[in-house]
Amino acid sequence: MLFLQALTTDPNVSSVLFFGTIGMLALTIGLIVFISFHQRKVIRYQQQLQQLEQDQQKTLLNASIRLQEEERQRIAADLHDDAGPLLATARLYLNENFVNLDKQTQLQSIYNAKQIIDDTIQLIRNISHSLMPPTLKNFGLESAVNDLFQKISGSGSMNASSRFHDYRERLKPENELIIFRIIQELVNNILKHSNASFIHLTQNSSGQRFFIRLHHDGRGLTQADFEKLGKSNVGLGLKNIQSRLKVLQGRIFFEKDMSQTYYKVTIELNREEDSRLPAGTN
Amino acid sequence: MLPKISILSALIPIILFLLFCSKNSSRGLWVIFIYCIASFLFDVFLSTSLWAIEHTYLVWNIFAILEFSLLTYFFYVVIKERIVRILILVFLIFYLIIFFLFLSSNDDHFNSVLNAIGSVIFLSLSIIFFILSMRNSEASATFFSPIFLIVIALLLYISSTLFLYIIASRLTEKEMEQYWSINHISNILTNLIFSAAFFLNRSQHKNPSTENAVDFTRLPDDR
Repeated sequence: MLFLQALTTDPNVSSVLFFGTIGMLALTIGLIVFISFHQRKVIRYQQQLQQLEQDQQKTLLNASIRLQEEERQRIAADLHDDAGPLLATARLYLNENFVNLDKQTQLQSIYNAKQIIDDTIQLIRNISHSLMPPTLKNFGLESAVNDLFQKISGSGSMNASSRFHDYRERLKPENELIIFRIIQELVNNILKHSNASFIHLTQNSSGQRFFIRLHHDGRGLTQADFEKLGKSNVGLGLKNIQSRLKVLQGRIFFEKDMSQTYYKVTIELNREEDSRLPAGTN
Repeated sequence: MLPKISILSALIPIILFLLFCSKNSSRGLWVIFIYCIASFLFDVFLSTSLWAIEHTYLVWNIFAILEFSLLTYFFYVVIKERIVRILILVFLIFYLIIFFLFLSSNDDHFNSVLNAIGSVIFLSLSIIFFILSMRNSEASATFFSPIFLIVIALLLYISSTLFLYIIASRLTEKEMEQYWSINHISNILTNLIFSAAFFLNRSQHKNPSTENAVDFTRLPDDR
């Protein structure tokens, strides 16, 4: 460029050309460098986000696996500790018939064995009901929740009530089960940790939105607590709620009531998502 | 020597495109390929035909309109924003009107105004492309895409020749010969970056894992 500048007859033209071209090139290169740096920053940010999401997924998966294992252990313990000895005792009574040929004693031992087998049937029924409540299967979420709340109220430890305002159209059975499990988990947490004197559940709909709200007067969680526990290693039940809601593509909000007296938990779902979910999502 | 290298440099992207990209290229890359061929043919025509040598500026002006149309179409293909696409069409109409106004004046000289307007329009479109790419949440793909390299090449070419085009009409024949080396150097550089873009397109198709979420050479609208 300097060589060209020296050759020209008009120094103004050459300086305009020289400085103009150099200036434009400098601006262009500056722009390209800026974009490159910006892109690198964006890529790094996206990678961090991806990593965070992966970690979150991993935590949820671990929570879900741990919960499943705990559930299996519980069922195994119930079967081994309760059903096992009961059946063994029934077997002993029945064996007695081979040893003792006295009719009266035989009848007594058969009667005892029958009693024990009845108890075992009841026990297995209880285990089965805890896995899949028959009320939920046969009569839907509203009846199952009412049933659950009546049992809590009946125990006398807490006043529990529920009211479904707009549940004429049932959700898919598999989604009802997921929501029921979430409610069960929340109620369990309230019973265990909150020291509340009452729980009240309401169900509402607004257009395609489906809401379930739980109020209680004990010590509860706020959204910040929920998010913090969701990221930590504790709070298995809350992580389980999160992963269940992910299946339904729903949301959950924990907040303190305006009056600062009650805690409120809101579960929000989209009915459209419910109809879009394939059968057997659970 | 430099003019000959400049003309022949257009063959590199043409050959690379034919070798690596002809089967799996987007419309944007095809437009640049056609632009390279047109540029090469015009340069050859200008240096070999006696008629073209006599009417150099007319041939340049004709090439200017072809170049404008092709590059406008390129930006139309790679920018998906509806408003920008409408703006591109407005630019094209505006440029065509100016071109025919100058053509009717029968001036046989280098048209600085026409070329400068063209350069400013492409400069704006390149910047718009970058802004839109940066705004895109999946922008990480832009950085590695052949289209990104092509826009950089165009931006470098336009910015290095803008002032040359602006003052070209004020230069004498001798000065033009001296200063036109800027155009030749820019041309060589642009062709080399085009070649790199075509090569990148080939390597991305060969090894898709190097690509990020979005391939800018194969966006849905880019048919």
